[in-house]
Amino acid sequence: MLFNTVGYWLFFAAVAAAYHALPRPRRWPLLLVASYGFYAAWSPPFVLLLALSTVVDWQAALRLHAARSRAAKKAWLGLSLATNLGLLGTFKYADFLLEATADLLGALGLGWTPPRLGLVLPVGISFYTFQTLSYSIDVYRGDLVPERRLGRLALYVSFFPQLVAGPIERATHLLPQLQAGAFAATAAEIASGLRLALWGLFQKVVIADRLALYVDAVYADPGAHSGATLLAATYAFAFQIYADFAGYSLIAIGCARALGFDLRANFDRPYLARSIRAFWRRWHISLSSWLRDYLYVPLGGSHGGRLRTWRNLVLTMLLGGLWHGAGWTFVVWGLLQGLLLVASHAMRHGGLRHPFEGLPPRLHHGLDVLLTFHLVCLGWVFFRAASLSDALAVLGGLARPGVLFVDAHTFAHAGVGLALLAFVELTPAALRERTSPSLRRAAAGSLALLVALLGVEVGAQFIYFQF
Amino acid sequence: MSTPPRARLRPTFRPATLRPVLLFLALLGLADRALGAGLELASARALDGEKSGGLLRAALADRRARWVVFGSSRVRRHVDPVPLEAALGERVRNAGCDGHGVLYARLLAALMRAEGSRARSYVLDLNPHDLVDDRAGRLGLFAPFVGRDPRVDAALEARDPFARLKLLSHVYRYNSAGLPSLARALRGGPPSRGFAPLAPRAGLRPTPPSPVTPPAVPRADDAAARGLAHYAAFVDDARVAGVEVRFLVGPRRGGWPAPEARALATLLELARARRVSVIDLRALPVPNGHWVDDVHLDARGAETYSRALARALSGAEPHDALRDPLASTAPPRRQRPAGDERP
Repeated sequence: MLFNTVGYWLFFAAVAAAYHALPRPRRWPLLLVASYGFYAAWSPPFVLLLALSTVVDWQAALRLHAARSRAAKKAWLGLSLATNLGLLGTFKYADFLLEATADLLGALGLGWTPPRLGLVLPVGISFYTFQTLSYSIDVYRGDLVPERRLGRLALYVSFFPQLVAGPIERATHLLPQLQAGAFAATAAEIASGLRLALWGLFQKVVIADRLALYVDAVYADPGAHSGATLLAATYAFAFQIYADFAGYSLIAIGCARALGFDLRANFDRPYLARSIRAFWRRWHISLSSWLRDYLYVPLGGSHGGRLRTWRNLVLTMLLGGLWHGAGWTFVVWGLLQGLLLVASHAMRHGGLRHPFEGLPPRLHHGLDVLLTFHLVCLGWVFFRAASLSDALAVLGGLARPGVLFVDAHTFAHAGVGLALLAFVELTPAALRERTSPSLRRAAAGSLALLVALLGVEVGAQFIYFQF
Repeated sequence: MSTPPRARLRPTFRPATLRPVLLFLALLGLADRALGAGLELASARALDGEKSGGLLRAALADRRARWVVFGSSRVRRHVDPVPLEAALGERVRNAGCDGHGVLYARLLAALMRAEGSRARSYVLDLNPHDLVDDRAGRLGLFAPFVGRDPRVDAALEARDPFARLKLLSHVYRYNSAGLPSLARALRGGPPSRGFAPLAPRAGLRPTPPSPVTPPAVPRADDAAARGLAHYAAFVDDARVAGVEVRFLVGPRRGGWPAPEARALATLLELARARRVSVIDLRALPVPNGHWVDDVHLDARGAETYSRALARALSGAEPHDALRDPLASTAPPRRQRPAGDERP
């Protein structure tokens, strides 16, 4: 049930109507049933995995909280980590690891044909696994009191607006909302949530899905296109993936708000970042902050000298890359992000000279943004390409002469969307918040008509669903 | 979040809160109607271009055409109506459209008849791809014509379970075609005759993949059965309306590859079963330099092709293959007794 389909909106309308009609104590069971139903619509058997992960964490958290010895606490945390990472590893990485081992053995002259498990990746497993891990770890650290009621914890893990592609909600943020028992939204919150969801839908169907037509056509055969076309497709992908994932996140946040819940923002105008470090504070914030708090900091963070910090940065981003997918392109993408963060760190603390040092501040700022955007685009080549050889073909082909393939129809439609996106994102937040209610309603109506007129009609899957 | 704010404790919906919602929906409905009417006006003035639906409208507007040639880019880029009109002495319409197939032809023919077309003869280019994918996902161009013909309505509803709901929006009916329509309407110009030859070696621009993302590769037999059913329905609908149908098979550089040749043989079987004449130009000699790619001819190739088609249609050049379309693709069959119409 994709967010960009009529089916989802009918489902949401039915759930929201029933939710607001029911007495408050009955609302959370409705949400739980709806969430499991939503997940079962993808694949009913995988509901069992979701339930297994929830039950194990529920018990592990309760027991580690009650345990007196540190060893017992560690043992219960170990059970939670082993279960969650075991499921994720088996379903997501087993074939990749087997193939990588076979390649390694082959390089050593030991031929081995690995068995291919061919397991189907359960939708959203990377997202809900990180969510359940944060719950167990927070309880272990003493930052959170474990939830005694299984149903409430199950709702935290499976809450349908953010179940399959985030934002990855921390238990410390979402669980207290479920425990407070408010389960209600004001009319203003409902209206604001629906407006936000509509803006997300616009980004998805008008910008992302339209640009995807161009990007897919070019990246399907990188060797057949000129450098100008490859560059245009890479820029297009940068905006496609942003509109796709930010759009998804906004729909999730908006739907949750209409039900009375507050989810964290996942993006903050990332392409205006002045450095890679700033970019990662603005892009997929729920993942990057998760990696920081549960991986980078436990590894030692920046408290062990320069080399140790650099190692931690590279390791964190490498694992962040692998989180996105079991493939060498994601490994290279993660490694590249790590190295760019190291360079950024070296420029701030290590005496490495900034390339635009000495320029007037405004020019410095503009060039910083431009450089950061292009470094991010370099990473997107590996992220988007089907294989390492394709990624290298794109990079190698950038200097290839030839005409720019212009798909006027696609560019015109996406251009309208991008212009509107730029207008909204460049408008100061304070000005946006001062907008009158009638103007907001008019904007929402116009957006709805633009979605109907310019949106790509048959919904394509969200990019982050594959992770 | 530990103490619910006072606002949360109020009922979510009261009549006072529902009133602006209903007002908003009513105004949205009015805006949809108004914008839809504007798009209809622009569309009516845009009589060229695939993406705007202008080709479709130009074909519908051409009620005087007595001969209509349907098909994909192999018709749009290859069939020049001028030599055909000279040979036939009647108005000819090229109704080909890039990237479309028999389903498009079937719906366009139905709409043309509904709009009072005076066509007496249809020529349909056989396309092996129709037996792999009927390209139903590209039928959005027909959305503005919902309610005009039951075949169009059925096709639109078959491609999307929520089509009926979506089509309530007048703006949605111009989804993805509204901007090109506006651009065409502003540019103006005479209605398209349909024929748009390719410049030598210019090639067709690479087309982006269809917006439809199929969940899985369709079972070949299902797709083939659907494609055959569309061809059969095209013939049957035309005959009910008193329009004569001919099939056309064109050449391909280096000959049709085996899978496509098999699909063509299946379509020719249908022609035989339905007793449809076939104009077989597969063996038409076309100089190698007149091909833009393996499938498309340039303007010089189109000229050769159109002249050959004109001769075949006017009967100036007898076509043996027309009498026995399977002669070149299958061994001769045993003659059936008269009256036996089994396929």
